[in-house]
Amino acid sequence: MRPFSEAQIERYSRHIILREVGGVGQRKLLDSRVLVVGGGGLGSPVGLYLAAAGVGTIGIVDSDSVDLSNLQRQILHATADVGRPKCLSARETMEGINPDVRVVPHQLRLTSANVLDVIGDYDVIVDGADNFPTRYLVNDACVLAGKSLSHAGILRFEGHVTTIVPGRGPCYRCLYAEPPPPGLVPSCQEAGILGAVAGVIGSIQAAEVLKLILDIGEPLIGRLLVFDGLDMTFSTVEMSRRPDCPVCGDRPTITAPIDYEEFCRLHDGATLQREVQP
Amino acid sequence: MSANGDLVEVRVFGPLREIVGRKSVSLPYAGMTVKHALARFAEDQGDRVRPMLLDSQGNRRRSLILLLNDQTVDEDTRHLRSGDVISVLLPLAGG
Repeated sequence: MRPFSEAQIERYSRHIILREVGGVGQRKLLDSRVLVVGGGGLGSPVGLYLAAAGVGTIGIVDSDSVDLSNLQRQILHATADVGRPKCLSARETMEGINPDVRVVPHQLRLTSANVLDVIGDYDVIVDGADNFPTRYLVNDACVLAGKSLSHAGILRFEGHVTTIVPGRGPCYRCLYAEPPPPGLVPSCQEAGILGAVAGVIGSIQAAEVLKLILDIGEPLIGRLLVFDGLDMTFSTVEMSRRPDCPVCGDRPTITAPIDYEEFCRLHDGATLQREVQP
Repeated sequence: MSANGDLVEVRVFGPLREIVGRKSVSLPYAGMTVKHALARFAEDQGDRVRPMLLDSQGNRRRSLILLLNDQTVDEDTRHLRSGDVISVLLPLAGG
């Protein structure tokens, strides 16, 4: 194991004194590679905590630029960053916290054509996307590539978070086999989000990622943690892998990444077939 | 007409909560199957809720989680009893 510098021993001292982490665990973190999909409300706390923890390589996928309306919750970015690409703003903030960290910006939108290439370089993936097409794409790609995934979604005062390890529990499609029809379920832009809820849920995702890398504790595999920020309660729903899951089931029908548009077209086709049957 | 003994609690999450206006409602669904109760709830709650829960043929959407007393359930066969709790979760898009 490569030795730590004096500055590293001091920087990571509160990790190193944890029996479950220690010097060996801290070295694992420094050698690990995590991809954060979305540099927004969830990606911000995830990125900040992973950088502070010394995760050595952090990729960040975001095609957007910082908007003034982001700053109420997206704590990776500052007022002076408005108009700049989120990837670059995120990189500056994260590398500013910890020079041990290399941040790789992926200023693009994930598609069926690029998703396997992008996630291929990373050990653990974090879903902090703001739309269903990306969420399903990332889930399917992680199942196909056998990558661990921290999934979360937020809206108004509520957050859902779970950890997906292919082969060890359910995937996102085992919970919600298909996305809601476009336009029926609102986004944060339409329904709002209390900024601190993103902080609560993103921090849980960061903790889950660190646990997965360190191989400690019990990840949220097979458990959907539901946070209600108005009542200030957490509840847990236990879920199992579905044998009929279209991507991780016994006879998968999704064997390559698909884009949402294509998914909708396939689904419409299926509906059409049903309708023409007597 | 229903006595209190018929009541089942329906808990809603995510975007449903804002539309329904409450976290849970008590409804006289005892005796129905879970599947029938979801369809009935969708119809009773009106035009904004219905398409979130049912497709155009009236079938339960696959984009939701339906739980009975916090457990997954055979929706077609399990009949509701007084005091049962149905939970309806929709995925959250926001990040």
